[in-house]
Amino acid sequence: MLKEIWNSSYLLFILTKREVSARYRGTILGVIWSLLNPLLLFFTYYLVFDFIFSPKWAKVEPYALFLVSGLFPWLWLSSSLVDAAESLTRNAELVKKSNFPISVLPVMYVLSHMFHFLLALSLTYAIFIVFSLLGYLRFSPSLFLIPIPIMVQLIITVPLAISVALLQVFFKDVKDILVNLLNVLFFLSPILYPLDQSIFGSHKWVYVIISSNPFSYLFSIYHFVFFENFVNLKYIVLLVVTFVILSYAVAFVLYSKLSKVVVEVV
Amino acid sequence: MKIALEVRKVSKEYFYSHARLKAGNLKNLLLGRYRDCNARKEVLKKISFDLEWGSSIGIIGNNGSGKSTLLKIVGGILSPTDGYVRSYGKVVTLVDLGTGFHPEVSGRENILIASAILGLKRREVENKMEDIVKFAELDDFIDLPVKYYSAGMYLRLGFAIAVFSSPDILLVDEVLAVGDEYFQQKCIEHLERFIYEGKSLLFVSHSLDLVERLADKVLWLDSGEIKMFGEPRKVIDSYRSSAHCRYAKVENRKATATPNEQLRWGNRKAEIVSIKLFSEGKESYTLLVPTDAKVVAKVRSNEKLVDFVFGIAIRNSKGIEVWGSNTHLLSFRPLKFTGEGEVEITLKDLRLVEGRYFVDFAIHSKNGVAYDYWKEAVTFGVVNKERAVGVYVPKNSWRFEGGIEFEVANKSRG
Repeated sequence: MLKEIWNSSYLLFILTKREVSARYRGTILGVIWSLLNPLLLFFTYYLVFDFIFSPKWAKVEPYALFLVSGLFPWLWLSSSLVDAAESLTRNAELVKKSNFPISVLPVMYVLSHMFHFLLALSLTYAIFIVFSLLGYLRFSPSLFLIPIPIMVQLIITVPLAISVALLQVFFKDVKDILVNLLNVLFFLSPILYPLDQSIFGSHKWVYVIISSNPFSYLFSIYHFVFFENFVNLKYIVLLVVTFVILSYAVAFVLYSKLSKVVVEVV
Repeated sequence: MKIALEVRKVSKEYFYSHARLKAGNLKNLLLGRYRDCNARKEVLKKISFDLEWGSSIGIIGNNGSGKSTLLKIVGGILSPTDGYVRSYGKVVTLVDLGTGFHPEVSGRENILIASAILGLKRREVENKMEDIVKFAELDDFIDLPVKYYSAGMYLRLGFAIAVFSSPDILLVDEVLAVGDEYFQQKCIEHLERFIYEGKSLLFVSHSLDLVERLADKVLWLDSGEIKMFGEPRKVIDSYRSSAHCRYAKVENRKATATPNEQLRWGNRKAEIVSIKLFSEGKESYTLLVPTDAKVVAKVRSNEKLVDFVFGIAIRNSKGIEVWGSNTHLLSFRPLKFTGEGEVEITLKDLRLVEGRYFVDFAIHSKNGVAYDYWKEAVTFGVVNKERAVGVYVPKNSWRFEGGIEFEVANKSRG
C-alpha cells in the first residue's frame, strides 16, 4: 500500500496540484481564498471570544489565536477524511477504467487539504508575530517545532483516509457515520479548550473521556508548539505511536482484503 | 515468433450485485445477512491464448460475452478468479477515451495527468507533449479547459495520449468506433504502423470490418468461452452466419407464431399457408452469396378464383426495395386457382450486399384488392465475401494503367 503510493508519487503530486488548482479555477482571487477564509474565521472568533465573552480557561491572550491553532489542524483532518471517504466512489470512472493505484486517491485529498492548511498555518504564524510584537504573547523557541505535529498528523491521516475510502465503497453508511463521529469528536478534542485537568474541576470523568480520544494528543502538540504549556508530554509519544501503529494495521488489513475487489464494486 | 502476452486458463467470477445491495448497509452487515447471498456468475471460463510480437488479435462476440472483462483482466484492471496473465512489455489499456480528464483544467494539464496515470515520468511526458498535441490536432485549444472541448476533441486527445505513452502492448476496447471518418482512419493507420513496428495489439470491436482490417487473428468469445480462434476470415464468417441465424430464427418465429396484423392483411379469399426459403437444396435463412435461392410459398384459395396475382418483393433493412415482381408484371394470364397450390420462385446467382433482408409475399387481384398481403413474411441474412455498400454487387473487376500502383492489401489473409 505504501509502496503503491511511493511508486506513484509523481502521479500523486500532479493530482494534488490539479485538485488544488481546480478548486479555485474561475475565481478572481484564486488561492488567496485559502488565506482569506482563515483570516475571516480568526477575526470572527477574536470578536466573539475576546470581546463578547471570554471562556474561563482562556489563559492565552488573544483566545482566538489559541482556538485557531487547534482549529486549522482539525479542519485539515476532518475535511481530508470526509473527502477521502468518497474519493473512490466519486472517481469510479478512473478506478474502473484504468490501472489506477487506488490508494493514491484518498491520499490526494489529504495532501490537497494539507496545502490549504499550510496556508492557514502561515497565517496563524503571521498573527502570532503581530500579537507578540504588540506585547501580548511571548515568542518561544518551540514555534520551530511545528513540522513535528504536521508530520504526525499526516502520518495518522493517511491510513485513516485510505480505510474510510475502502469501506465507503462497500458500505455507504460509512460517510454518514464519519460525519457524525467527527461532529462529536470536535467537541471531545482539546480545540476549544486545552487538555488540562484543572479546567474540568470536579468532573474528572470528562477529562478521562477526552484524554482517551487519541486525537486529543495531536492537538496538544499543536498547543505546545504555540504556547509551550497545556501538555503532558510523558504519555503523548507512547499514545501517538500506538495509535499510528493501530491505524496502519487496520489500513493494511483493509487494503489487502478489499483493494482488488474495489474495481468490481465501485 | 516471440510471445508478447500469455493468457492462461483465465476465469472470472463476479459476485453479483444483489449480494452487494444486501450487504450494502451496515445493519445487514452487523446482522450477518450478507453471508447467504452468494449469487455469482462465471463470465470467463478458462481462456488461454498467446499474443505474439508484431501481431494483433481482435476479440469479437455478442454483448455480454465477456470481451471487456477479458481485456480488463489482461490490462490488470481486474484480477482473474483463476489463471494468470503474463506480459513481456509495457501494457497500456484504453478502455474509455478521456478517462480521468478533469473538465476544469486545460488540455495540457490533462495530458500531464492522464500520462501520469499511464505511468509516465515527468520528463517523458514533456518530451511527448508536442507530438500529442499535434496528433490530436488541438493546437488552438490545448490551453483551454477541456470542458469547452467537443466530443471529438476529447476523443482525439484521449487517443493521442494513449498511443504516445509508448506502450509495447496496447489494449483497446471499442473506442475506434467513435469519431469522424478521418480521425478514425488516422487512428487505424497509426495502429497498423504500431503493429508493423513489432508491437502488439489486442482489441475488442463490434465493427467486423475493422477487425478484419486490423487483426491477424480473431478470437470469438461466446458466453465466456472461446468459440473460435484463428484466421480472421474464417472466424468472422462463422460469427456472421451464427449471428444471422440467430436473428432469422427470432424473426421467423415472430412472423409465423404471431402474425403481426399490421404486416399482414387481405380478405382471405386466398391465403398464404407458409413461406420458406431454400438455398443449395435445403431450407436456409442465411445465404452465402453468390448463390441460388428459392422461395417456396404454399398457398390455398378458399373459393374459385379467376382473378389473381402472385407477387414478391425483397427489401433490405433500410426499407429499400431491392427487387419486386408479380405474375401480372410478368404477363402470366390467370386462368384458375382452386384448393391448394405451391408457388416456387427461383432467384439465380443472387448477388446482394451483406446484410439483412425481408421478403414480402402477396396474393391479390389484378386491380390490387389484397386477398392475402404479407409484409416481411420471411427474413434472411446475406453473407457476402466481397465487401461493398449499397444493395447489389455486380461481378466486377478493376484494372489500372499508367502511373497507378497498389500494394495488394492482404496480410496473409487470402
